[in-house]
Amino acid sequence: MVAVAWKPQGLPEEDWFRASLYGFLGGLLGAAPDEGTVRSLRAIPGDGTPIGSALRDIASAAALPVSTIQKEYDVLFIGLTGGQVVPFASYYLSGFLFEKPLAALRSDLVRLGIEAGERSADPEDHIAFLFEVMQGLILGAFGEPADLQSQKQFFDAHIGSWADRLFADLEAAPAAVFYRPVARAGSLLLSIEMDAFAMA
Amino acid sequence: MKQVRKTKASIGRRAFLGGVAIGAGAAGVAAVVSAAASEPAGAGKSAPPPTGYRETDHVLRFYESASF
Repeated sequence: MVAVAWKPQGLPEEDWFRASLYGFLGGLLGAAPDEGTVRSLRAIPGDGTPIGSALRDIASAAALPVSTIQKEYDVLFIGLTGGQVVPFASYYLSGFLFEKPLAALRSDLVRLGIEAGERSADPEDHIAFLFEVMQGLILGAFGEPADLQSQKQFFDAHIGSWADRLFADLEAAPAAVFYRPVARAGSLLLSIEMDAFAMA
Repeated sequence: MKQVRKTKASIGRRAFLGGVAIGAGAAGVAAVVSAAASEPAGAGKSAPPPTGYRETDHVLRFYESASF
């Protein structure tokens, strides 16, 4: 992430880690990683937690040639006539792109004071965009850090209701190799967030 | 009393996140994120700060190449 890549003062460490995971996965889901990113992926240590093990698998999968990973991204998410997965909330919730779920998201983004960049010709309900909004809410990239209740509201309304199905589809997609552990990490982050929000 | 319960719950949440769910391995991805951010300036860097969605390099590249 360009704007906020350091831990803001006073932010609890676990929230910094959550934000980092959102930003990290959002980045990988938003575009094919470049060479420098793939090199740093290989050095991710992981740990004994389930998500740490998924991160370690991402590190191993990053041993693939960069061009192979980039091609995989294109086949999965872009394709000539569409990718093998469609990473938009509206598609999962309504069956079509640009439907009501996107309208609901847009009105929440306005309420939160988050504007889509001018260069974004694509709908904002892309999983990468939504993860980066979560990252920004936690870190305070759009002003003050959002309180837990607002984070939960955004998550429940725009991510929690569908993204797990996307990650299941991504993990099972024919072309997925590098993106299989990415999907697993995404799915784990969702379930951790749901459990943690329930404790708040 | 309500306040006390809430505080306890919030400690539970933090303990869950910090101790069980997200371990030190996540520090590794924070480093990747930071490294990516310290790369030579992209268009986003000179943009005026706070308020408004700020695109990452990744998202920018995605928008350039996407053909949905």
